[in-house]
Amino acid sequence: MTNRNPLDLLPLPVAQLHILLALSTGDKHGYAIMREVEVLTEGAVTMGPGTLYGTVKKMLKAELVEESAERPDPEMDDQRRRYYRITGLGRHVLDAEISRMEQLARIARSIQTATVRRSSP
Amino acid sequence: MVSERLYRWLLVLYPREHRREYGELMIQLFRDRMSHDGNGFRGPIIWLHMITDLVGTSLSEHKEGFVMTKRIWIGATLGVFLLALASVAGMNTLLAQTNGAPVVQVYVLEDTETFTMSGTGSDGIGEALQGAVEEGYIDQAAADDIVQSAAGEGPAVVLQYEVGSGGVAEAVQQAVDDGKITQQLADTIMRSISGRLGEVQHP
Repeated sequence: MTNRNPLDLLPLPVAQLHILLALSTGDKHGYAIMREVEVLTEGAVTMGPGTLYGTVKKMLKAELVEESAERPDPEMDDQRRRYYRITGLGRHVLDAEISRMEQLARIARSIQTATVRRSSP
Repeated sequence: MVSERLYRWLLVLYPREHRREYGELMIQLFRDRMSHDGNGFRGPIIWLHMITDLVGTSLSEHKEGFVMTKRIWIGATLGVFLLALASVAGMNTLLAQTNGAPVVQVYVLEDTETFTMSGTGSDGIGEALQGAVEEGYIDQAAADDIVQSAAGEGPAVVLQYEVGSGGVAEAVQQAVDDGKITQQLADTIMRSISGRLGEVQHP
């Protein structure tokens, strides 16, 4: 694994975050990633092939994901398909990004609550 | 499937490297998406989404490639500038020049790909230079400089012309007809290159 500090890669672009989340449950090929992102976001995020592979290219370069030799989806197996898996660095970055978002959400909530209290009679 | 063919065709919008690496995977994904989710009324919506995704991301892929291209451009521009500087430094003088754009020129260059006369410093060139001095196109010092540069193993003497496409003779004659140079100078130039026209590589 590379010695890069996960914090250096934050904040993660939204598309990268969704792909890491999709791959955190197991190795997947492009279409499976696309479907998983749709399911996880309840249809709010739909990735086209250009977005998906453009993002995967960047993530491969950043060593957040890697190609996998395993074929975990026998239903759609095709030798031409490429499967991807999250790397150790990818998991660390995902954890760090979720922590960052949680912290951000806490700060936002506290500001919102304080604003509501001040404005109420 | 027509939509798949169109999608495949639109992949030309991507940089070649990206297309080579991910083109087939993108088509596979397009095919999967359309066959599983593109039935019924949702089909055209999904298709439109994938086309707009393709166009949008192709622009960003080019934008990323532009960083490299810009570096290459800077390098190439610097290279051309240095080459031009070296050529100008190697150029001694002009034999015949009109009031406006040069029509018939004899340069002394370090190297050229247009027209090179063998036997540098020959009598023919000497005569041409003398004619140019007499016509007042160049001074004696410049002519001496050319002869000195062209002597022995020195730089080659080069003739460049810009008028017409019929070769040196036509260019020279055209220059005379236009009143750019005298007939005498034209004769001198033609004598200086007499017998060497076979070596001319027309630009």
